[in-house]
Amino acid sequence: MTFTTLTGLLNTLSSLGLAAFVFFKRPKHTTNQAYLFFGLTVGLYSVGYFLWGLAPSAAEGLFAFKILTSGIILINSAYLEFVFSLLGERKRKWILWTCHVVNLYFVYATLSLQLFKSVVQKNIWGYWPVVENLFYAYFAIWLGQFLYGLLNLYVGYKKTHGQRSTQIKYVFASTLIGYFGGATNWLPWFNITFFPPHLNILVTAYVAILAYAVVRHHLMDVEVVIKRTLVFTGLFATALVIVAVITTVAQSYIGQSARFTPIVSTALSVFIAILLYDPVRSFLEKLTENVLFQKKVDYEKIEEDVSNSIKITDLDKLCQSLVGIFYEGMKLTHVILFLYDEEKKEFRIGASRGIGREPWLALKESDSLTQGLRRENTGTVYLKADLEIHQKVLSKGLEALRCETLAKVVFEDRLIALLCLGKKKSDEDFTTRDQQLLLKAANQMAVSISHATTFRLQRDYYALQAQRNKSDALSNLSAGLGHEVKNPLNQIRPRVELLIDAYENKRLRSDDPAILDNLQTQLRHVDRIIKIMDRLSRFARPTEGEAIKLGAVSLRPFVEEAIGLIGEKQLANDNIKVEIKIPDDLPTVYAEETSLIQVFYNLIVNAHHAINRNGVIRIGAQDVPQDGKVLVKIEDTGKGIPPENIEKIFEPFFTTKPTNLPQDGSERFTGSGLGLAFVKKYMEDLGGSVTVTSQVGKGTTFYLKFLRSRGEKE
Amino acid sequence: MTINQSGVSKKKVLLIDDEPDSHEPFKTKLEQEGYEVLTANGGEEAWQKIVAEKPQVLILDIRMPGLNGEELLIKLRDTEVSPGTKIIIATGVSDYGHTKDRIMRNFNIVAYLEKPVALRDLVEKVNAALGKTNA
Repeated sequence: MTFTTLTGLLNTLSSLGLAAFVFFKRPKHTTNQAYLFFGLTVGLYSVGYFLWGLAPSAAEGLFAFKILTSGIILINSAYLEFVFSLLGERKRKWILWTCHVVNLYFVYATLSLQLFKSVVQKNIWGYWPVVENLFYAYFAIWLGQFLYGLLNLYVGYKKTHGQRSTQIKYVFASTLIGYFGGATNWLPWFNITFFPPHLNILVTAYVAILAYAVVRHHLMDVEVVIKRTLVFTGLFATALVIVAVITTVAQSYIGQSARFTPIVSTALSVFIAILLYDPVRSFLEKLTENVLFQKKVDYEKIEEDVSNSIKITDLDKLCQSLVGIFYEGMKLTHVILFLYDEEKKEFRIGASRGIGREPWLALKESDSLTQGLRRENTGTVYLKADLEIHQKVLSKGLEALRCETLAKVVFEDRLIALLCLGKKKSDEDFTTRDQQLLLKAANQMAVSISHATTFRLQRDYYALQAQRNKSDALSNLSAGLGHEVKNPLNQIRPRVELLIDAYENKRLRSDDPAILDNLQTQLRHVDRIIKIMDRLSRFARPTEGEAIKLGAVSLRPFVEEAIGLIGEKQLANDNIKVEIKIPDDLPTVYAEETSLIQVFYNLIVNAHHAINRNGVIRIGAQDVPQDGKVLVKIEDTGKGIPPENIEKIFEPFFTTKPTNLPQDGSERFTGSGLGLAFVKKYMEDLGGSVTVTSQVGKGTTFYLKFLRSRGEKE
Repeated sequence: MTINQSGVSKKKVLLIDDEPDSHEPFKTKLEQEGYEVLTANGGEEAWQKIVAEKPQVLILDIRMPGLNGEELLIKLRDTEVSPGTKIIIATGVSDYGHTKDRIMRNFNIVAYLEKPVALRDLVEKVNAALGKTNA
């Protein structure tokens, strides 16, 4: 069997196989039927070709040529039928029928030996017909029909767009290649025999290209889900055929040149085949697994994952998760999720996979995608392949992102996000099922993204509040401290002025005792300021990021420190008496120094604010050895806390103090509502607790329980 | 009212502040400027001296134990015990202008100074309050 003979067999099998596949996928559609017809005619031609290759005598060669030529003639009829059907051409049916009639006549002419009467041995390629004059007319008409079909395809390709256009392009290219391959057989007809018709194999190439278009671009509306096993089998079969071709060719050449006996050369080719079998198999296995990984998309799992994502409240994590679901679930080249930035009026990347560090970070209003979307009010999921001509801007926008599909995420009529999907790694087109999935997912994403966005706003709000609280505490503190510092400064400044004054007026005498007194007074007040600043820095020492240094501490100095921070004078100015009753033998407790001052500061400031003016703050402490705790009581004679508020006072942001002082002077203190929340958290972190009792109009008592440090005494 | 060398009666200035040392430098300076300077360490003491001495100028602190500056101002306004007395505030209260706004709105104040007070400023304000162009 020669190579050309083998191509005949291969072409027969491949074209009939594809035609049968396409037909049985949608048997009722005319295009699919037309393609079956086309496949059958190519098959007929190829069968004839195969038989011709095997023909042992001129009689059998002539018989083979009758089949072969009939096939060639009918191919054009089927081709035009298929092209017209594919393009939806209905008006020029008469052309088709004319061709059919003409072609049938030529089939008749072939069978009645009017195109050729006999075959002779030409070159080494076997028997070939000796042409009659009618052959030239037939050849011209045949060529005309083929070119007419090709022209129609080209026009159709130019007229359409999107997937249709792509499909037609594939038909155009593949049939051109197939015809070209087959056309190498025309040469011996004209007695040109130096070029063997090896390119006949291109007919199989045409089938392969068209099969690809069927799978990839849904040519003839065939939806194919290729199973891994099927791909592997197909590839393996192809590889085997290639090996077979190589060994056959090798057999005939080597057999001829090296003069091996047929048995030796067959054994040799079997040996080669065995040798190649394993590496080819493992290579193909890897190829199917990695490159042509066609695992079916698990739509249900993706849907479930997307609906589960609503539980993610962190917007960044949510975006990452969603992008991951599509990227991995649908096996895409890349996924980008854009979030709309209300402030900047642009879409910014919330998360992405597979795009690396792309330079575009945002879609501005001026970008073609955004513009395209503004023009498109309808629809949620856009497939680039399905976009109409008037949606060119949108198409261009998707092109820029190298995206095939876009899903709009709309919440309460606002476009809040865009999900842009790249190609499938399998190179398949997006299907209606994909579209359904994205539609459903877009709705769920609208909920989860808006949920997370709200959550983020809320978190930002709390962060802002916490920040505000800190600055509030600081402003309270600095107002108090400001007073504390300004008083000594008010002692220093005029004394300095007096000295300068005396110096300028030459009244400065070094033995004047008033000068020494002046300077000593100044020094005393400078020391006062230094002490205040020390306290402030101890209070405001940042503890964030620092490991809390827990240790055994005695409480009394911290109570005194806190009072010092508020300012004994401040308290005195408001006629508030502070009574401290802490036993000298009180055990040390587990605590961390800076926070401990803040706990006492917060509670004593609260007591001060509750009293406002004229009252007493009593601070007591006692050992409770049976509990292993130390109890601290901070009691005030202030206005008290109403029962309905007592549960809430430890909640963050709960406060009865105004956040800004009213102009009428009815309130003197501001609050952010975080002081007591801080106290509670800190005490609990220490393994202690804080509780409260209160009576409106009488006063409030806070109880702090600290863990004793191993029951040691101070 | 004392009579100075030129035979003109000296104007009286009352310094009110609870800080023990705080009167001294101001007293020295104002006396150099030719004023008679009285001092009080709190609101109650100040009230007694106003009633008794009727000073032309008060230099008043706000935050003080007992009767504080604001309460003293209310008492002065409501009783009209010394209607001609000019009031200058000198305070260390730093609450972002809240107290200042309130006091300036509710009382007839000629100047509001914040601690630490510059001697030169104080003298200038006292002079201005009494219509003296130069010291």
